[in-house]
Amino acid sequence: MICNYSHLAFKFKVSIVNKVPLIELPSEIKEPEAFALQEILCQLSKNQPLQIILDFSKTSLVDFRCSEILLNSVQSIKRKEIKTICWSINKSVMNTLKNMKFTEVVSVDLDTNIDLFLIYNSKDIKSMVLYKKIKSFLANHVQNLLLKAYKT
Amino acid sequence: MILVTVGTEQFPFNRLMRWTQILINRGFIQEEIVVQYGSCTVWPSGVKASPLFSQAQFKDLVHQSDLIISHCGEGTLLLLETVHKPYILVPRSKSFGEHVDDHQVELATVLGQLELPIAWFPGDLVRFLASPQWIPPGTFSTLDFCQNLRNRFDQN
Repeated sequence: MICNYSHLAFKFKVSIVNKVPLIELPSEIKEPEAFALQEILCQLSKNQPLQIILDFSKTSLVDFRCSEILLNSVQSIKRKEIKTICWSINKSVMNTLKNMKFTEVVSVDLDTNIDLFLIYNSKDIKSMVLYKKIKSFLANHVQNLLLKAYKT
Repeated sequence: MILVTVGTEQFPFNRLMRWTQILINRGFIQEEIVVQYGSCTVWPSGVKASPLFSQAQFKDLVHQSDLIISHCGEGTLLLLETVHKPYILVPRSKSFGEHVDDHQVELATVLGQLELPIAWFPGDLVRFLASPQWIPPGTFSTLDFCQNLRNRFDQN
């Protein structure tokens, strides 16, 4: 079963197979998306699944400022004994999630982490993926610089 | 029954085997599953698995199956086009030593544009299991398809 969960202006595609939900996350997760995800996790947890999968395959940016919302969301479903499993996290998003300490409260299925850039070798696709990769690298880099400046 | 097939290539496609194992471990696949693993050096545990099936056996398995997860090989694709079963294709990549070149990635890119289900990530397999699509034969014309591939990828 595939359903679209919406909260405010945000729609998340949730696939449920054998009562296990998989949430397809958006390309960028900033505060509004994080709040929407929190609400959707809360709704899904009412059905008491054993685990919820967060699919990061389309996500190229996670804003550090939403770390608290993401951590709270996961910790609140953890209290209901529901595990959160993350799939398909790219390297730069993984660095942000590690800095947030998000990876300490979730499980990551490492075999699902795959860099599309490695798959795509054809020139036109490569340039498109390269463009996205540079964009996400710059966004994450700027974010980490700001974070360092904030800490000092 | 779900059939997972990687064809008869000499290169292992362990990535698909690991993804299948994860789908089983996470509870997305609970029904019977048959895996044709070819040259793979790992395959999911607790499933019916064989490196190869005879052509007749393979056709029987295709007909018995409810869903098919396949590598994006031309031979398998031609066979799948003739059966009325929902299928999803997973392209092998040269970067992971899964094939000699990236023709399966190119094929999958163009087939994806024609709305055929392609799995670039394991999440795509879950979305397929949640809502399997049956592709009616003749969805694409072979000539148009070849032209599309040539236009997009021919470097000469």
